[in-house]
Amino acid sequence: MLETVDVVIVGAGASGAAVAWSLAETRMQIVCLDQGDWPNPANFPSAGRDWEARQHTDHSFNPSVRRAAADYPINEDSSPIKIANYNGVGGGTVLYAGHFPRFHPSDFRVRTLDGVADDWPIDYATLEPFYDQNDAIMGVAGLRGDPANPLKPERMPPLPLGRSASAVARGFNARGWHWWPSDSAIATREHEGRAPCINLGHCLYGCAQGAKASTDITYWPLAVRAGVEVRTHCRVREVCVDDQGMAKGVIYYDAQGQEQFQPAHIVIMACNGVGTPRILLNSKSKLFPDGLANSSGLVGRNLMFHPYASITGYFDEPLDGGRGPSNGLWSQEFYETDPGRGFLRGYTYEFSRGGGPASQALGGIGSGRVPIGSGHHQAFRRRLDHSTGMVAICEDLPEAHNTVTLDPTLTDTHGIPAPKINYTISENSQRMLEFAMARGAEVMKAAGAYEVQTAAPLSFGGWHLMGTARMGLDPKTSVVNEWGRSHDVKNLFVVDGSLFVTSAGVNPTSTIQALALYVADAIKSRLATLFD
Amino acid sequence: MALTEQQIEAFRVIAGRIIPAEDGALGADDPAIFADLSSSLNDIAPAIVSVIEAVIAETSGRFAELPSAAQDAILHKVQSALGMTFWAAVQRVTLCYYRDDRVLSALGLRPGPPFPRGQVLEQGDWSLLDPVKARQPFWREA
Repeated sequence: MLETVDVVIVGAGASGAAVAWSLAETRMQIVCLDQGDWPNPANFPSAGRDWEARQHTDHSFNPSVRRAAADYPINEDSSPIKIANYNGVGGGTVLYAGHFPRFHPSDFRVRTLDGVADDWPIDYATLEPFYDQNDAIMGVAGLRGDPANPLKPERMPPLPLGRSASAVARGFNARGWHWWPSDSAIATREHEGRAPCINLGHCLYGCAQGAKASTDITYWPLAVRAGVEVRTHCRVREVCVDDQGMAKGVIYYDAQGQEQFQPAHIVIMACNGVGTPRILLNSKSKLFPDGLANSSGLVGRNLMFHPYASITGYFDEPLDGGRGPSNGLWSQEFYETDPGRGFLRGYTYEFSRGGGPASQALGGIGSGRVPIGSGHHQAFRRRLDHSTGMVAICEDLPEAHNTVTLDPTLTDTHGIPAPKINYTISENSQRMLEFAMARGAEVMKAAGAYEVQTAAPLSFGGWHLMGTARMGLDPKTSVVNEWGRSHDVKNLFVVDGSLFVTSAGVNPTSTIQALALYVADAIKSRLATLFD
Repeated sequence: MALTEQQIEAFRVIAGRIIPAEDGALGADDPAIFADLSSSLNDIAPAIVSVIEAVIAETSGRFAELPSAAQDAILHKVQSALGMTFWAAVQRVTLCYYRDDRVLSALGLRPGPPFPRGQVLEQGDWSLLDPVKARQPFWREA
């Protein structure tokens, strides 16, 4: 048996890194287990000639396509939105665009303001210092003064607009609607040893330059230097409990496939909104026959994605193509609730610059605008680097029937049951998607697009996994308390997107990390009475 | 699963019609492009075989002898019948075609990977932000 540690963290992604870094100052012995490896930027696609092909194969954000050794199967047959993730140190931050918006104050008071879902047990003011702390460590480019958001600290200069975002901004201005340079976790100047962005245009598939903030190059070097041990290729099967119902450690399979038991005084789950419920549900015992921390029956329930709509405009003027980060600007004109729109809550438009030549050709072929066979070259030349677009990232409301459960037959290579996703898009989300496509098309036309293409939902867009171990004050209606501790198991914590009570209409990474820092702070400030 | 030489040769003709040598452009059956393509088909070999078999079934094995327009019609028919299986073939042809140096140069694009040279992105028109800067905060207090 391994030596007992003070803290074992399961998962080395966005939240696991943040909580590890914050707790490191306590000098507790901390071990983080991750089923993947450290990413090697030299192997990222943009460093090779086959960079576009690898987006669709071994570096896809879809684990069912990627099929890396670190990945586990997911039964997503009953979901129109497929899971996107990355299993390894850095987690989802390795394969994300670097969007770094914050929740709005209203996002924490959804029930009070709009009469739907539930209020969070914390508010914006509680998280604000942790947002600030996280921004400083991850490194955020943007511009202060966005009228759609509370004032934030000074950031690095914003990403260039380029021709494409300028065109879209023109469209928003013509409609009289809000837009602003988006907050992006992408260095626009040297930041804490990270080189500035050189416009590889490949953020979603790993930044070979290291300009994009992924936790393998932000939090983890600091945490490791402070004494945290990261153990890679270690896949956790379950959390074990003692006779008193306290977590006593985790069972995992090491790099050689050997079963190990890591005893720990504190267990922290940081495996995302699918991985965390999967392990908790698989941690059955005499005391917890329905899975660990699940007396409420809510572990794995209330799964939220962000349903996405895409809006693409085709222009006569030459645009940026895939040169530069996909991020550039956002619009939160339709973020706050207006019942007159036919739905509650709202969404953010996020500019999406464009892809490389093969991606543009495939987009054209897929939409029928660029033929295969005769006429291919003429049609493609007309469209190459003449399109740009945006997505609408829509708030998804929690619904108990959207679930992560354990598949009865499908298992990973270690025999651990695979997660099964059951998810349907709500009528509210569907109306929001349709509204977003219609207004988005108006923006593109006002910007000068001669043709606009819209689509929703994006089936591949399951990046944001939230709500499956929600926080709350009442043990009957939540899995963890207002500072991330399980109601049922007093030395078990959750710090990932599972915590979310509602999803807001923005990318969740900065909020996930702010929550992880907040939970770590709560642990540090209660060390003497942590298990009371 | 590895394709046989006969299957690779059959797919060369099909790839050369998916992206044809027309309008002054190379086709996907160009020797260098197809060499790259044929070396990266094994992971989707079942899809490629399905496409080949469907084309053979539609043409009694005489696809290569048909005029271009008829070949296009056959491919569209197979596309409708096979759906994502056909898309896998189209995707792989397209991904290999649009990384050839000659193809990219002809399109005015710089060949090679983006890293480490990076790419130029102009700042754009920041004066567009002036009217938005003048707007009062409109987020909801809570």
